[in-house]
Amino acid sequence: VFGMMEAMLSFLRRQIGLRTDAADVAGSLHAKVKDIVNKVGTPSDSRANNTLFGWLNTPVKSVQRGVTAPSISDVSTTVTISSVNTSKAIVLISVKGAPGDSTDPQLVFRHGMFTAVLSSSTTLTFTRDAYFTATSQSINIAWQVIEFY
Amino acid sequence: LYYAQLDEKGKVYTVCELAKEELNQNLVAIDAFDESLLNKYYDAETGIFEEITLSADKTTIQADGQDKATITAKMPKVFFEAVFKNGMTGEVIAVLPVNSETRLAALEIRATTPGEIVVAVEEKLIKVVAQ
Repeated sequence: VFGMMEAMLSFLRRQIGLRTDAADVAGSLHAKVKDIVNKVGTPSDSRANNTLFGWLNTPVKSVQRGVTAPSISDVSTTVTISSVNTSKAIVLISVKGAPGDSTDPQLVFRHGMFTAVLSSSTTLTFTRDAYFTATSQSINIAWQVIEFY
Repeated sequence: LYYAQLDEKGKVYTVCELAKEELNQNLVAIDAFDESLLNKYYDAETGIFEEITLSADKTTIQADGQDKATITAKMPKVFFEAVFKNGMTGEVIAVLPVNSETRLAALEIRATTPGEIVVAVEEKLIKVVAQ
């Protein structure tokens, strides 16, 4: 009986391990807990720490921004950006300025409204439905491309 | 990583901040996010951004067909001629050569009926009132 107890205690000691055990996913209980603590990280971690907290704190990979003044007589305007993964990026735009004078209010509206599309990993394209060549227009498109991990 | 993006004429149509350093002949690195560069023209030789300026010797003329105002356009180096347009309709009024030394082109206007005359060169506008 005494030998049996000794064998069981020895088994438990091996499973629990020591506080000094290094983090190891396949190691003792102490080693496994240390491995989990390392992977969770601390609230101040950034993406570079590659921890759970780090990933939660830094979901954004990059932000690019700009202001574009489309040519008077172009329906479509394309700008160059640094490469992004288009399936993990979003575009935000806002338009300001005077779309110009015309006797047709619908044309003024169509002239000043733009869509924005990531036409490739390195290009952002703004398109409007129609334009007219009044030089009294002044339109600026403010844009941001936000890429996530 | 701030850049001015140029069209085929060298006009700045976008000012932006990109995520990485980019090498592209249509991109010019700039020091800051400076929106005032929009619609200026980049001179690659001097590295200067130039803009079109319009001036008039008179802002008011008599609508008698005789009195006249001279509108002067100072053009960036990339232009060899200045296209003066009706600023309201976009209709071309005159295409005048640019003096290669002074970079100036001048248009004389007269009026026979009272009203505002808006003249444009590219995106720049100037107004003269005929009365």
